[in-house]
Amino acid sequence: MKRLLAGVFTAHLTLVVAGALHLTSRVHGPLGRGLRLYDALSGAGDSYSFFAPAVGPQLRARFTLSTPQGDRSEETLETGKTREVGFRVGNLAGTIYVAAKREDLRRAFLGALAASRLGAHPEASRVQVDIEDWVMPTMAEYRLGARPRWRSLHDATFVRRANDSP
Amino acid sequence: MRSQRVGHLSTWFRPVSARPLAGLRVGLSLLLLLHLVWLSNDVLSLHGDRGLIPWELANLLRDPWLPGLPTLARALLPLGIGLHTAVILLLSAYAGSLLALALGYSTRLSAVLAWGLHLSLVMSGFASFYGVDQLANTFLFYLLLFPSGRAWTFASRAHREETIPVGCLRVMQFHLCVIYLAAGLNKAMGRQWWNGEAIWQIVSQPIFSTFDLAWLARSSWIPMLAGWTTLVVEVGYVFFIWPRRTRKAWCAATIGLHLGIGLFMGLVFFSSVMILLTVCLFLIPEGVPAASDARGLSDDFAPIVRRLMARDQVPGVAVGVVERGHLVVARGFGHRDVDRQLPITPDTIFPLGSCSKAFTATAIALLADEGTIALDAPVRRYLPDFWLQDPVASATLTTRDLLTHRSGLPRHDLFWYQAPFSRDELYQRLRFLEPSGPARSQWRYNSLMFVVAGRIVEKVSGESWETFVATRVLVPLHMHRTRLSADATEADANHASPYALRDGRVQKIPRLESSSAIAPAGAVQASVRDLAPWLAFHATGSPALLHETMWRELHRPQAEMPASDQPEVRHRSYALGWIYESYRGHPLVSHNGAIDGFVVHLGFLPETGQGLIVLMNRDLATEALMAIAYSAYDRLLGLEPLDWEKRLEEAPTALPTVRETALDFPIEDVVGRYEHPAYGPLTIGSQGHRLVMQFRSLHTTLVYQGKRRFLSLTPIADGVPQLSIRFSTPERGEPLELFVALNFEAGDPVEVLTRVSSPTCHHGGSGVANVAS
Repeated sequence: MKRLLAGVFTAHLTLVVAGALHLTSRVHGPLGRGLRLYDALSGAGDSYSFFAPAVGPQLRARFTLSTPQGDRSEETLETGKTREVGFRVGNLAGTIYVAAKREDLRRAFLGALAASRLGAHPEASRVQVDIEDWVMPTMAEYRLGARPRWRSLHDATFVRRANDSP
Repeated sequence: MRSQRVGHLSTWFRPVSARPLAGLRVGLSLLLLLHLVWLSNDVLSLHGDRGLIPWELANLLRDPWLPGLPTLARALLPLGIGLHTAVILLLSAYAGSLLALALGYSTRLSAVLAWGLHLSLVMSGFASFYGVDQLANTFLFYLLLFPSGRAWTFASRAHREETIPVGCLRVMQFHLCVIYLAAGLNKAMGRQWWNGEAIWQIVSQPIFSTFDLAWLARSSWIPMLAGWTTLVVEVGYVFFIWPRRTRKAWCAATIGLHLGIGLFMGLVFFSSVMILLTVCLFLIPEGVPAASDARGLSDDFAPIVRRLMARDQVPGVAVGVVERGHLVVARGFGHRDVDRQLPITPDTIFPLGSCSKAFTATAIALLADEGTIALDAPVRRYLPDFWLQDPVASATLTTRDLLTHRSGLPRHDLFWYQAPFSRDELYQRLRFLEPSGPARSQWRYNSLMFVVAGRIVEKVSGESWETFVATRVLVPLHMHRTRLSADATEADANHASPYALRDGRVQKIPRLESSSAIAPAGAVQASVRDLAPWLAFHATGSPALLHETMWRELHRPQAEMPASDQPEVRHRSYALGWIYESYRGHPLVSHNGAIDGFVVHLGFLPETGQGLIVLMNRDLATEALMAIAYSAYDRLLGLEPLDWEKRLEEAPTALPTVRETALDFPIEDVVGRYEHPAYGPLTIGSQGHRLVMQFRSLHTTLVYQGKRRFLSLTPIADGVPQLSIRFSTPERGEPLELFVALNFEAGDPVEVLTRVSSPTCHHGGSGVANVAS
């Protein structure tokens, strides 16, 4: 029994190392699926690439809401949240935008986000969703006067239908 | 080979405290619970059926074969529970399981629930999760697999502290090291982490920005330094977190790194989890802690000791049991001095005899641990003047061979016993001792090689063996009343007097003197109370005098020994100053010691971390000693006790009748003084038609057996066969030689002594003069 357990310990740690080396993701077929299932359950397959090898740009969803009277307001999902919540909510839009590689999927997600905003603002009849990334100059560029800014990557406009209940 | 595998396995299953896992259990579940409360206003937006992202769309992007929250919620639909209610119920169950886990209620079940629900949240809410959620999943998984004990639970008051196999802790520690190493190496592959841009980018992103740090652009060395520091801390984690000397410093650096992340990036939850992991897995002591309700020995044990003492006329016995690093049983039976009716107490000092060998082995291990010596380097690297009779053995024997009885020399106990010469002279005379076989060919118990090991300690450290052992072993272990010589023990009022059976009655005998020459193999003297930390160190590795690898090396089976007479004792191997064996299927590391008037037993059970001390002041009472020891182990292991009193009953040994043959040569022809270059002088005198042999204090009468052979009327010592000697028939001009079997095992060499003087003539010959040269 002890020998079996020692073998299990060793096998698990081997998978931990293999995951860190990005090896398990290269295994295909039933064995690969089995390994990825075990990795997901146990966390053995993670590669731990926090901010590595480089820090990616922050992504956000910005909403421009318009009323029939022509009033406009802007907001983001993170607005007014605690840091932890803001980070998670802010992460959400970018993660889904990157993960949904198909254009129809992206539009569906943006539509879902737009619907949530229209639901939160019954007075609004139209919402434009902008997916933006944070363009941060390097330190050298910053010293020369460059300043960070949000850059639009994708935008879509959604209009409340006449029979939609607010 | 098998015993080595058993030893290897024991390194995975050595018991350590469950407190590190308990700390992780409490800390992680509280942090997750706090985090859930923190997210409570938004948790339904992130995970609910009416959240920001519809479940159907999210399902298109995540792994379909792992059940997320929607799957679990839909599973409740047949019960009439709507999706929204189901989500709330599942989130409540998650919170409840975390609370139960923190409080220690049904920890395994709580861990299973917490892990399963956490995983489902990670699966369904993948878009809003980040690395720390996956780390939490990983360590919840470990908490459901491994026992986290009852430490820091409401149940801990009603139950004794639990231990866990060390492998559980090591797996998690190793995993954490992989996390840091992978994170560090992945960063190191990016240029941003070397030129400081990574730090600049992170602190400048609106999502992380806590302070206005734009000024960093003008002081780019600060983010560069921060980047390098991050790389050093993360990559160095695996290298510096294990050595005890650097562990605290690296823990402090790691905690500092995460405090910085929490402060400057606002990732408080992430930082808290990472700090918790390092604190629990590397800072909470894994040594087995104290407990007031130790198992100890059952009530029927003391009567066994008393019966054995009465049966074998043992004046006094001291017994100690060490559990989880603490002396939980400390008892004295009988008297340390019968005439003065002085009782044995847990503080009575006894000579440990050969149990001293583990002290010398530990001294060597300390030097090897700090890299001053190598266990497998030739002895001559440290002692260029090391010479045995066998030149190959002289050149190739290693320190490990010395400590595992693989020198090829038989016991040669009469060589050192009552030896009138110094330790240095004893060392110089080793070259004249006959081996019984080639080095490393077989295990042959030999105390003299521990004297050589002690000399290595002296040569390498520049201190005497006594000073080194006192300062590096006794002081750190707080063994303040442990003595390293018989004289020092005599000066302590509470010491045991030696007794032996003489003519069927137990009598006080003189304490063995002149033992300083053999001190590294047998001079340590200690009480039950002083031996408790010694056994605790060997049983649990705490306090950490040695790195774990070297500590394990002391107890790892290394030289196969002859099988035991007892069928319950198997796989006997010698470690370093300890014997490793399996007792009734459980690993046992122990050693006996015997010196005039005393027998002692020290041992510990690696599986449970329990240690046993049995000290007795009667010569050669080994049967009673082992009956007590095995009876104690049965109880410590919780096994059905065997009747060791009956099993080890000493069979009455009738003295054999010695046949006597009429002399066929003039007895005066062999009378005289004989000399051996190592053993020294031995005198043969005559008493009528018999010979009288005097060797140091040994005096024995020899009767003729024919063909110039004589046999002692009685054994020269208890427990050994009768002494057999033979005289040569010298040709003209040749010296008379005496052949004596001073070692008593089959195959042992016969010592050859040369007559150097007689009442009628004087022969030259090799003698002490050779030794002194």
